[in-house]
Amino acid sequence: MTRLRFFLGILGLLLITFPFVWLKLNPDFTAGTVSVGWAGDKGCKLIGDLLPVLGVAVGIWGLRKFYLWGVSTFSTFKSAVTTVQSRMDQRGLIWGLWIICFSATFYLNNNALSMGIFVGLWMIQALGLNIAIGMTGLLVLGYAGFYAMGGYTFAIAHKFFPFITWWMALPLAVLSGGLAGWVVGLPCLRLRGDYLAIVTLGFGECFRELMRNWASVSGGDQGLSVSANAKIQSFGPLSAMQVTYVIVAVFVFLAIGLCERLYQSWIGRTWVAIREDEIAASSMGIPVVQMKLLAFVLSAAVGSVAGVLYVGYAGFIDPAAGLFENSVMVLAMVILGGLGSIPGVLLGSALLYLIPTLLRNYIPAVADYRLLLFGAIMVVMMLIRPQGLLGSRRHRLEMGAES
Amino acid sequence: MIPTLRVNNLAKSFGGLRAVSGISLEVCPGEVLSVIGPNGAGKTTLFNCLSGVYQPNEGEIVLERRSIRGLAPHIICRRGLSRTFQNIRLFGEMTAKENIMACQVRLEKPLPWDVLFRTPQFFRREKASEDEALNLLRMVGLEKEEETWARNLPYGFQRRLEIARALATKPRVLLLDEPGAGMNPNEVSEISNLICQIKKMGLAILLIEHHMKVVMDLSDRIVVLDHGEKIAEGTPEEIRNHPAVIAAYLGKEN
Repeated sequence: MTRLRFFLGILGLLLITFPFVWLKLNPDFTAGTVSVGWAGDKGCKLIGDLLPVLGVAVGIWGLRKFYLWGVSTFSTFKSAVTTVQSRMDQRGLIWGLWIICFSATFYLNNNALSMGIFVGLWMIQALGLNIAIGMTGLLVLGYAGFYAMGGYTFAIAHKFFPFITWWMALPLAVLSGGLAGWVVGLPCLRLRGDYLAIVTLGFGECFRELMRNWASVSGGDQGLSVSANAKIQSFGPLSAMQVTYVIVAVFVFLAIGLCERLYQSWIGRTWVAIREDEIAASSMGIPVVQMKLLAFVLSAAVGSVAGVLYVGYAGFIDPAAGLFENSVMVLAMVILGGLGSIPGVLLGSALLYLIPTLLRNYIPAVADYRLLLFGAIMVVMMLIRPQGLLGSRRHRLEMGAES
Repeated sequence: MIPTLRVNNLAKSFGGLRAVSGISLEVCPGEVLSVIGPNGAGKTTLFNCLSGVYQPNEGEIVLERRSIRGLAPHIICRRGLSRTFQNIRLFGEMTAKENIMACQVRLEKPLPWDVLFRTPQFFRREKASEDEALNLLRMVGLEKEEETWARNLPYGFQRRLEIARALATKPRVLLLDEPGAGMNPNEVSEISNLICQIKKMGLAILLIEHHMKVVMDLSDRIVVLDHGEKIAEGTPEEIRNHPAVIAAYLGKEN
């Protein structure tokens, strides 16, 4: 019976998707008509693309045994992670890591520096999103909108006032991003999780469409460039690239400090309380809406800073910066690394940026399927390690108490 | 004596169902007023109206001479009315100490500036908040569990932690919604000792409880609800023999 329903379901799905997959519209502009025709080549390409997916699925099916073996040795893995984490807590090691990060600017080549800059930008975004989603439990799906907003704030301000350089744009972007967060958050933070996700998703898309269509200000689809002297400049013996790397690293450092200090204070405790139980929090005197708004605004402002740094580095922004795909990417970084855990979020963003980039450079054939790969990683994560690679301190306590 | 909390003619309906209607009561400092009644009598709805979780349809609620009707829950709490929940609502993924520290709304907080730059002020106030949390934990007998996750505490401890958390807001009125539910006799007597102790601190306490022994021992006065209406009010002795109460609990004799 269930099997029959399964096949009926598949059949229904095929019927519904059939026209989109196999038919195409042929507009005839001279006659002003549109005819429907077969999209044979399009369909074939789809099948061709699906074949490797099938291969991967079969492969995973075959590797079930391997997976089960993985689960059985999971406890050893867990203790290894805990050891790493306890070492990570040591201050000396952290400062050592920072020194390595900063001094990397002298011995990395330009290609690697560029990658480092982007890792840093993603880290800042992921840290910002973590304030909203990891600490306060607000599901934000349009985070790239705030990132793009920061970038556009800089580019537009520079367009009309050419003396504005990247560091002057930073406070502007913090203001505009924060203001956008406030305007979006104010009406919808009274809503529950899913609705907030939809509203923020809408905001991201709206902002992107606005920038695409308001050509007189934003340059439309071509985007906006800033002149070379507004970008991050070379300084002394350091090239512009090296300076950018150092500046991005400094901002990652500042973002970590901000998150860490907020999290370990009454503000962070209030956020976690709201995440845990909103009704109890409000009955215990916590101004839920204000505190959520604060988290949301801070999160948006941090995202905007990343946007300004991006334009300061690339000298260019276009509406693609606000793509939904980018929002999902940041979200995936936060979830992969571990909600609410700062080292986790950093690790997640480094992995999720570096893996596809390195794949694209060395195995280009796989790069097209990177979103698919993300999906698979997410599913596997949810199965074997739902709290993320380096789950937060709180999640770790839970694991410890259960084992 | 001026009552800390005065409720006048309170009513709340959900659609056509009048969950609470025409309820009036008063609680004075250092007094325990129990609210009892059969299941579905409207006791928890009454608490939800008082604490602002629900908006009452009519009536007035006066806390220390100021009306608190229609205010948001967190403002009501800051005015001095705190509560516990029938189904425990602790912040599961926080330690016992953090649960209390998150709710010290009347305590002076370090400013955002202090938080970001870790000034001496930050450490001073953080320490003060921590000390107070530890005092409260000691009072409810959870001093050994300060670093345990609330979710992992045993049931009886969770109940006591919820009371401690309610006290962290420094209330004038404390609403306890079935603090002894699901407990063994030993734990129940511990809880009633705790309530006695809180009463001596001069708080006005509103108590919903099904353990009749606790109610009769602790209460100064008892209000009996049935079908959302107040059917009796008086001292434990009067309530024990009140014909309407017996009828509501045991059914009427023909």
